[in-house]
Amino acid sequence: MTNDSRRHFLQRSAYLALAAGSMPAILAACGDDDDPKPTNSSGSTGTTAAPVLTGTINFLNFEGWIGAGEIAAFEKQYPGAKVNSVPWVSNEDAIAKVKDRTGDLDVLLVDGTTFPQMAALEVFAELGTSVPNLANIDPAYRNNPWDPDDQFFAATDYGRTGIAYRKDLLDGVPTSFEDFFALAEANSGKVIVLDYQRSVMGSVMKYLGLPPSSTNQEDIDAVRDALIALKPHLLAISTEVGKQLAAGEAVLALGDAYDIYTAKQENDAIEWVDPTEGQVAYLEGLAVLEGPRVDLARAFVNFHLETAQYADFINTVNSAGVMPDNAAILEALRTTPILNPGSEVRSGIDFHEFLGETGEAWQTAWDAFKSA
Amino acid sequence: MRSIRREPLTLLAGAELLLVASGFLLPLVVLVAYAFGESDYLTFDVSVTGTLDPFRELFSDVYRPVLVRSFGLAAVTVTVCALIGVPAALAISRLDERRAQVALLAVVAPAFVSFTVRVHAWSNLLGADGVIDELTGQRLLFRPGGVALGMVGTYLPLFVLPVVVALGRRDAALLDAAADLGAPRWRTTRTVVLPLARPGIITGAVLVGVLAIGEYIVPTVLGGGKVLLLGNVLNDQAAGRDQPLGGAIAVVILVVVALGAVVARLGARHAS
Repeated sequence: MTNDSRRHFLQRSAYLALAAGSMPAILAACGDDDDPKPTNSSGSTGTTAAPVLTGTINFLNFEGWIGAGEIAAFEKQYPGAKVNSVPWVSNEDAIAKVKDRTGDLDVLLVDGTTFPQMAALEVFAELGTSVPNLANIDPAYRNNPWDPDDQFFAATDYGRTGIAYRKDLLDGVPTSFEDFFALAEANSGKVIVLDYQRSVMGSVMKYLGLPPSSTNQEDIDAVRDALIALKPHLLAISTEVGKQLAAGEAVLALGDAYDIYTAKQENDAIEWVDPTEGQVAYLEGLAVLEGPRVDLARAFVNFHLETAQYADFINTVNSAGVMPDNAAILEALRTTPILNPGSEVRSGIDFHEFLGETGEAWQTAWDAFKSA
Repeated sequence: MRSIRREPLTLLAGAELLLVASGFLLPLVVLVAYAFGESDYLTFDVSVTGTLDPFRELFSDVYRPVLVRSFGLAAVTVTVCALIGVPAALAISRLDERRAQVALLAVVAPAFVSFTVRVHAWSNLLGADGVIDELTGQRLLFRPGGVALGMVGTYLPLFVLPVVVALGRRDAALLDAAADLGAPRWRTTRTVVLPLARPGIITGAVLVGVLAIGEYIVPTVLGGGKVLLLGNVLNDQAAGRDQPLGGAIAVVILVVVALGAVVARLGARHAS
């Protein structure tokens, strides 16, 4: 969920991904007749007007969080269509942009913690029947609590937060968050945590044996105090966790799986740990915003969920995906336990829940940690 | 004839006034108004109610460390800039014209490079295996000292230039008179040169101090997310989450800037 780290790694891996990641997509696009075709008739819900599949859609997205060849392929598939990427900065920034620029933005990447806030602003357009490729998404990532009927949200990827360390530089092998906190003290100044409130606070909730999306003020205070106690031992609170590990500046970290997997490609001494207390994770996806280009926006979402295009996306960004059986995804990505853990680890994952008004108390606690 | 010639000027002045009013004053009024408002956490809607809660929040336990750190680091930055900048300016002012120009160019040259690039260059100097680490064994990156050093490095030209300008206006006869009366060089510097340089020192201090208090890029790059300053909090809040708090921070910075301007003016008047 951190734009900067994603951008950083995406920039570094862009050439590799372009060469290797897009190959299955190209091959699949050439001859895989089993793949669902993009929907050329929008089938806009409740209207009989012909869909408008030309124009420029504005896509609010993490910079580079898309298949290396995807936009070009979409524009080729839909002559007269263009995709303009609008960089995502933070969840708050996304909400502000959507709120202030309704009608300007057409598609956005959103997660389960932010979706309900935006839904309350009544900015989403129904996906309707124009996105048949929703069927390609594993049932485990459909009918989510914030959109139980899959009316507005098309899941695209998820990521869990865990521990990473340098096996050549750290004296000890962490297996739990308890180990992480103990080793942080012993390795003061060489520890880094991700600069993303929900991931870090949720992980500390797990460490303290609390519900990871707790709305109890005492729980939130306990997490704040644990983080403030940890802060003197931190090298940084950063979106570049994997980079700092790869460089050896940090030897122990709390980070996201995709970031650590990407960093491990650069430095094999980096190890990933699924803490015994369990993990928290985000699930994000695409949503279409009400506006004049809703047909083209729906077509874009459907295109993104084509198996070939989706594989290009996952192969480019190195994320855990929502189409585990998609054979066009690189085998290394499909089989690595960092991105695709076994059932035992999966059973310990809690996805971030919408906090409602309590989100303010979480934010205050996070601000207190960062300000201290 | 006179009125005909004045008409375009009046139109131009009116257009400029309109531009300033719409581009600067109006946002400023909104910003200040927001500082006395309440924000809905979920919808980001702001209602101006006249409350002082944003200021209470800013001075609460949560953000007080940021306030203290911002003003503390600004004070350190100004002090170090003065300690380096004043002697440097004195040295430059004693050079002949050609050498002084070369020295001034050396002081100003870094400013020709993008501010962000310069700050990132500092991250290399302050990090592991950087010059500071090699010389002292201390890694200052992601620490308050590193942020202060980064601000000193990037703001120093802003301090040196006004002092050089102030010293350039001094009457050389005053130095000759001090020498003729037997004053040693250090005494001449303390009692003659430094008072003459005071307007420049005050201007430099205000310039550096004001920028340091609201600094965003330096702590972002060199602070590692740990050394937050007011500019970072302002940026977070300005994203929409708590615009009244962002407004309160902006008002505090504005007040400090205004006070700085008053001090500079009084100082300059006193010196002259």
